[in-house]
Amino acid sequence: MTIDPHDDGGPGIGQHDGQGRGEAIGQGRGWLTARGQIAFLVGLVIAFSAIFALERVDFSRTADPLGVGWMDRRSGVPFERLRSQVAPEVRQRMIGTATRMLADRMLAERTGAQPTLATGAALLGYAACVHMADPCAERLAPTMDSGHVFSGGPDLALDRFMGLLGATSLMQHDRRSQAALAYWRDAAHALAVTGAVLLPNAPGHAQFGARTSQLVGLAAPVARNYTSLAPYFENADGFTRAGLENSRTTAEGLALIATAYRDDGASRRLSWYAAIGLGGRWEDLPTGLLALWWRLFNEPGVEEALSARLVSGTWVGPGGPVRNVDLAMILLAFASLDAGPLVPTLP
Amino acid sequence: MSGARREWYFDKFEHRRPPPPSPHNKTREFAWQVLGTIAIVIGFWYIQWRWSNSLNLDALWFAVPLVMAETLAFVGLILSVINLWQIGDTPLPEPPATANDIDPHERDGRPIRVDVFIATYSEDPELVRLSIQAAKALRYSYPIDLRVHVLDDGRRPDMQGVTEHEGADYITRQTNVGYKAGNLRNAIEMTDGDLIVICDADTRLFPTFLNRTMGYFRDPKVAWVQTPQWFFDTPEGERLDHRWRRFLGRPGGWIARGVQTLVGEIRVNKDPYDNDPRYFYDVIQRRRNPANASFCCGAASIHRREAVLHSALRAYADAIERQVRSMTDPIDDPESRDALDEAMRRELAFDQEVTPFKFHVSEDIYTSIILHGDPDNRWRSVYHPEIQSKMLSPQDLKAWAIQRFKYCAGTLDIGLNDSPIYRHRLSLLQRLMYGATIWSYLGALWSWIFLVSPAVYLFTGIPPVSSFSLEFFVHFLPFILAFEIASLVGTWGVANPKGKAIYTGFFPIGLRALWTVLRGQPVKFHVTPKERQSGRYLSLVRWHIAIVALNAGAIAVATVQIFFLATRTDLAGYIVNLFWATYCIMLMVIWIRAALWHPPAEARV
Repeated sequence: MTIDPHDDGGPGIGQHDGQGRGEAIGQGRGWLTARGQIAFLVGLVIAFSAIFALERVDFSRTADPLGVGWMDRRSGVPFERLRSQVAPEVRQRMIGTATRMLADRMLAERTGAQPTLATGAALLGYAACVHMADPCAERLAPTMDSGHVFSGGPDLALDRFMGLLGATSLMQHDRRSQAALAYWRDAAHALAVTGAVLLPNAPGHAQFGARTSQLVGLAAPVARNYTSLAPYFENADGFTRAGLENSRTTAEGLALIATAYRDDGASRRLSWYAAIGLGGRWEDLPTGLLALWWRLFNEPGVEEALSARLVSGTWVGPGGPVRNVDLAMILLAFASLDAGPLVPTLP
Repeated sequence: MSGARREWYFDKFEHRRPPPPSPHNKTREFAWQVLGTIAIVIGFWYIQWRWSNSLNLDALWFAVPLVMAETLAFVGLILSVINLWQIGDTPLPEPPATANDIDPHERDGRPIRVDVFIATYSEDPELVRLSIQAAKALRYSYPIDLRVHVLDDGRRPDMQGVTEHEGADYITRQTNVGYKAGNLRNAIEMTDGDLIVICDADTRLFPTFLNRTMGYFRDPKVAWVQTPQWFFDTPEGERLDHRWRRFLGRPGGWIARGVQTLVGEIRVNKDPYDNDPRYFYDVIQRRRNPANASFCCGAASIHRREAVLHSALRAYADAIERQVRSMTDPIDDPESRDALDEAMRRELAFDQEVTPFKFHVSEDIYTSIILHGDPDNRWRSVYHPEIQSKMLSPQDLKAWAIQRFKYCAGTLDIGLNDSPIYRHRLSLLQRLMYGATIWSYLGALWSWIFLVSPAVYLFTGIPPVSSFSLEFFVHFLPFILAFEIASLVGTWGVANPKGKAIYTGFFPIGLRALWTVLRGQPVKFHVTPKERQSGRYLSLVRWHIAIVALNAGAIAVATVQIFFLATRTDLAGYIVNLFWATYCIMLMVIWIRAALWHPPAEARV
């Protein structure tokens, strides 16, 4: 259809109908008509349904549905150096009783001396002792039962998730931890809701936080698959691209996942890549991370570095006394060695 | 004076008839509204995910600009959905018979007086002759006092001769103050029509123009009626099968026919500059009508003199008041203050000019904003969807660029220096609609980021997102699909894919315009040439060529690194950015082809 510009014929769109001058002029139907409002509401319902469905896609449950092929290709030579980069199998090893006792004694001393400073790390340490059925559990029990551990408050994002992990483990062991679980669940929830899981620029911690949040049904909105860590590994210079601090927190979170949870092969492989990616520069690493790696890998260099942290009958870190967080990781490593993963059932 | 009839390049297009307005399909409109809502909601979800969970924290220098660009473009999408929400044509009453039908204060039942203004500066007088003849051929259902005026800012004797030969009035002035707006102002002072029709030098009104537009003025609040502009001379291009037969012989023709059987007719080089303004008028302007926010675009519009003058007088009084206040307010002594006040008012009343059309490079939209925001009168605008005139399009990239630079700089100047967002008398919807226009021109600030981002990734391997993982696709694909499907349905029948390329590649002109405005420099431009200029304009597309080279080079480098040197392994990121870079190249090639395009040999001016 075309309009003949010379035709002044019958009514068309927007054309008068010759019915006289009483016709309404106005501005048509107005902007937001009833039909438009219905369309808007229908659109809202469909959109939110779609978002809800998409948010239900749980990447972690299927252990990284995209695959972790990028890990295997990180050498830059696809399919060739894959075998040489496979993490060594964990072999059983022994740990001296004195060494083990040292960690639990330090934790007990700190928790007992400053009960209000008890943190999620202390709770995780206690859970590890319970898991090992070790005397340290008895040593820590009075402090834990006093309730201080629940009121001290976490100081790090990582600490909150350690607390949540410890409380969950204790609950699984039927150890009076419902109140603890509620507290740490709330603390973790607050982080997950505000997105602070991502902080402080620590993708490995974020992974650990996300994985741990799922223990209590909290879907952390970040780091739900390992591919988000790809930039930290896919580079020619190894595992240092983001700087040592970032590399450390990435490695720490991965090692925690691999140690605490059963059969998380992807995080164990990534931990291995992180370890070898640092190229033996282990002297500056936290003692807790070394302990976790010692648990996970049969790597002589790690064992040497960890042994060097035992000075005059005490555990030390690279710059002084170890933190509670490191002590908890040391105990977690020992517990895992003795009794398997702290939380045997993955969410 | 008339002599032998001139031959024009557009003679062969005279048979063309304008397309009708797109039909108003309520079912499709409902579907569009649903889809538009979905696109916005999912867009919010995507953008919040981008900011909170997807940034590559190791490369914030790259991640933040890209996510900023996405966010700003998303704001444009929201404004676009609001703009295109629905069609709401204003019912057209019967044409008014006498002056008192459009002016309640008029009592004597005299015929309505209509002035047709044809503004010209340097255009060929013979071209203007056609416009005069068309104006003289206007018909109306009732007796009418119609006068045609040629407003010649070029002060040319031959123009005067043509005008007088055609029986029209010739109006000129001694200066060019205010350019087109000043030219119109001068004519308004010398005429007295109830209604004023504004035409450019090449605007040829259809005989039905008055009958189709004047009925709206029965509403005394209607200030102007804008009709769509129609460029009847846009190149129609060449059928794909004809073209391929020329280059590839018969087999090429057969293949092209097969392709066209599947996807419909394809025309190569059709409207290379995307001059066809149908999307702007039939979609954007038409759907602003229900919000009383369609704005005047100059040519092919008709105005109520009272509205134009009322606002002009108000602006005149406000300007005097402002100047007087600035001088008298600091004076403490009431007697001295009053004396100075009185003296200054008298003096300024002579100095200050009444400017019915705002003296501005974009006088049409500026005047629209002033009328819509008039604190004393809620003036209405009407967009009439039927094409009622025809005109000529810019015939080369330079002319096109001049025209778009003018639009862009003018609109940005209004947005930055007298933003309608802050005009209190504009309704929220009017602010949003005018804001959408300004926002679209600000797109030059971020569109280039989309064009260079894939090259940055392919060259460096640094991703702007934390990873190109399933999580990325689960967020990105629903958003982009929702947006594209909504656009498809919302602009059904008027879709303009080439417009997207033109808009994306507009950034060199847009940034230059923005820079001009930010520096407070006057927006200088030549009158848009109506005849095709000779030459190719590769300098106008040097940035587009650079982007093509950048992306092509990046694709080559990344391909070699991944498949031959095996120094990179980011296959997922490579694939995503390969498509992205290729798409950018395709968009830029449209610009480059436009610069190189020249019409087939034909009779020209």
